[in-house]
Amino acid sequence: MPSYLVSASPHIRSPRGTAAIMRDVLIALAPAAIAGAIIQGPLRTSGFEAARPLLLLVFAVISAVAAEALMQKAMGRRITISDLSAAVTGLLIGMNLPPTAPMWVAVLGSVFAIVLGKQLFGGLGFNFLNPALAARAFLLASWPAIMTNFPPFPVSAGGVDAFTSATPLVLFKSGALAGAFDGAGEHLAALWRLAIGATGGCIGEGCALLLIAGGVYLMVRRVIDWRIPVTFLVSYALFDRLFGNTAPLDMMMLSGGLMLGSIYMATDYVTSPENPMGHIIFGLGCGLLTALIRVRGGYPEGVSFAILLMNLCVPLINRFSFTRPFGGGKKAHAK
Amino acid sequence: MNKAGKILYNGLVTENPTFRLVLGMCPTLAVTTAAINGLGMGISVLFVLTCSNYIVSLLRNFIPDNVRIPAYIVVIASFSTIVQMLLQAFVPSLYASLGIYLPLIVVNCIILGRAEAFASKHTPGEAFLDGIGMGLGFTVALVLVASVREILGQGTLFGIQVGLSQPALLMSMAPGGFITLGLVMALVNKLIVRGGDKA
Repeated sequence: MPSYLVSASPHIRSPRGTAAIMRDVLIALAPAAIAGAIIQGPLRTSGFEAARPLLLLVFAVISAVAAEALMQKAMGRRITISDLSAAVTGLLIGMNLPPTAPMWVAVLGSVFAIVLGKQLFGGLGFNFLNPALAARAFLLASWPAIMTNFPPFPVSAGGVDAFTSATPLVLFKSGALAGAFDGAGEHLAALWRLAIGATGGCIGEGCALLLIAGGVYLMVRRVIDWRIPVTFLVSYALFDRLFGNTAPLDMMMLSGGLMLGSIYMATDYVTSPENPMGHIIFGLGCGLLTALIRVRGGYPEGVSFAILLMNLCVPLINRFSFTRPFGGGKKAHAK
Repeated sequence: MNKAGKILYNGLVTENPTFRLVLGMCPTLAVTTAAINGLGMGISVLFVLTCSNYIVSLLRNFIPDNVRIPAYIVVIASFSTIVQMLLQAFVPSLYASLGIYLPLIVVNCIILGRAEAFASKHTPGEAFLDGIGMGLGFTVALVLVASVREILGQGTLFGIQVGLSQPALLMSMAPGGFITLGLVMALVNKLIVRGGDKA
């Protein structure tokens, strides 16, 4: 036995493993997911359709975990479904589906995410794209009609009826809502509906308040770094105005997948940069691209594509945001 | 296995241009949206490759080294022009769907590669067989990739319905080409080629 051990860094190890971190993410996501399942379920419709959002979430999670186990068994790897990362991916896929989607879409999305997005590249830690977002892009490109079939949300209040026919972002984009919220009361009422998620949209992206609450929980637990979500949102707000969007900014911020994407998907450890400086660059890029797609592009929503594009830039960002060792000087890493 | 069989097997399996040499990726990814396009492209390349291999091999002692590439291209271009005119005259629909990738056969790296690496160093007979083997290998690969993409992307095979009610549009688009090629390549290498190496 050597009296002391000489080894390379890191020397300080956290007792917290992948499973504990993923459990925190699940805890943070759960309220928004459940709220989405209720708002887009029993509150919106009745009969079997009312159970569909919840079933979609369950199917997505189960098939993601099953796909991970089967794939790891087939490839002769250690089965690591107990680290819960597949469950998180499945839940995010479920939350990214419209509440009207057929069950096979949830299953196919999860299988695509785990098999093609994650395991074929070597499993957790080796995937260069966020698996859940890769699956969403695959589903959106393959079945655009199914993936954009957002049912109207019934409402009694007069001024915000415009929100009931499609997603707010589609309406903002088409200009159908121009001037609809000039009155302060109408504006507030519409903003509240967006904050609680009582609009057309994907199952899990609606309830902005609970998504933010979950994000704060994750930041307090030090699971995610504040820099990515905050720079993402600030840079989005900045560029949204810069590109000349006339829709109310507060509503643009609460619409679509911006909260879900910036807090839970852009912060994925594997597919985001390693250092604080890198986080800031990454967040800025995500915000810029989201605004570019939303305001100037063809799609009403651009969060997922923005994050996917920035995922691809992560190796580059890591190179430019290298942490210099103390006393190393500039030249040490000039190469 | 005799020499002729060896050359054919080499092109078809051991050095399959698509799955082993990974040459000619541009047409492989671009035209494989439907099985019939893959077949048309494969046979066109098979024809041009076999003819150009034969001619290049015949001329191999007369072409000065310095200008061999332009000389090869002149030979290849002649044959791809013939293919282009034949298709335009007799199968205009295929001609239309292959589009720019038909004239681009001229710069197909499989054809240029075989002219440089094989035909210029072997007898005309061997070069002819190599052209057939490589051309068949390319055709089989294209039809394989295109069939998968057509079934998943359009729910048909050679235009016949296969009972997929909601095909994945992505498989007909560029990403579907990359994903399918990667997966089919991995599968073929795992199942056939590696197994063949061991035997």
